[in-house]
Amino acid sequence: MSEIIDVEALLPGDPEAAGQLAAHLQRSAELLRSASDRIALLGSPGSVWEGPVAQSFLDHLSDLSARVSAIEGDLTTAATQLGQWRDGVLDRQARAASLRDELTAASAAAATDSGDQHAVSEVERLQTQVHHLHEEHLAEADTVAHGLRRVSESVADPTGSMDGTAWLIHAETLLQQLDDQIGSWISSEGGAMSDAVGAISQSTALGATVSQAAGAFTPGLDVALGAAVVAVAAAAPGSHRLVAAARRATSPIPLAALPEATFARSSAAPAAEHK
Amino acid sequence: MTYLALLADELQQLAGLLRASGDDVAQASREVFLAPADRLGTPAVDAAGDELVGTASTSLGRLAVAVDDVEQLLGRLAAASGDASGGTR
Repeated sequence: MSEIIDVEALLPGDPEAAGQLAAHLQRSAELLRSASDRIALLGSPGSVWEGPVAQSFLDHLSDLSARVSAIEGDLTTAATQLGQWRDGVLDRQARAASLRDELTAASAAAATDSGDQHAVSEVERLQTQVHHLHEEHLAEADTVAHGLRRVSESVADPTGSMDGTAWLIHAETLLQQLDDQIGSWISSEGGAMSDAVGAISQSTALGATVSQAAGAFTPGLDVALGAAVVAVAAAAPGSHRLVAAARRATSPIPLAALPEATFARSSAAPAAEHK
Repeated sequence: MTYLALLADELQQLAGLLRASGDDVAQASREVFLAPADRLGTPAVDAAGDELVGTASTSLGRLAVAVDDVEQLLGRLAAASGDASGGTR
């Protein structure tokens, strides 16, 4: 073996390049964490949208959030592996540079006095260390390459993009049912409900919603009628928001008095069952 | 405003909130796509790094499209809700 060690040839790898890739992956993971958290928040109980129509959508959001989160975890793992590889390369290249200097000096001593067995032994010892360092580097390279390939397999999405079409069809069907039910409900109960809600909640969106939907507004009815109207509202799927507003306006209405259909997450029954 | 009109408005708001998440995923995809994946180490490490960058940028690109799809679906559902609310009044 030549006494002059080419460190880069012996231990291939640019620590800076590995560090840059790790940093890119880490930044990507952080963006995904932000996206995952936000999507999960949108799909959590009490978020922007609730009710029977929303449920399948929320399930889809949950899947989407989980997928984003999984890739975030994968990229974090890869960034960690690359960071460890970079640190290892730095360490081994520093050790190789030191060995190169020692070997150069020992070789010079052996060349000066060919009978100096100590110098010859020292050269052999250092050459063995260089060989071990090379083997260590190759083993570490295999480890990180294997780890990165496993991450690639995990990140790969064999199903392509997540298809939300099924959800949309389901949601549009439920929406149509909701529309039909609300339409017939308003036709039969809307006038009285509008009166009652107007009485109990003139300043709320509930009052505006129901009054305008029914096309009438008559303030002055009593709270008892309001509570009765709340029960009517609760019978219509998707009316949880109306009921929630009414409950705030006519406290106290016990939760137990409201049909389960009012609250999508406490009822497994789909909207169609309440027609 | 009818319940369905309120729903349409909320769906539009939801779509807007989701758009921010889609932007994050798209940015994450670009981060990976722009990452250097050569001179990492041995040929095996370089190949694994290159594969990871390619796979991750492809998957994240698809995921960004998936989030965008959901946003578009919300927009369509909001429009349907708005139409339905007009019919209810």
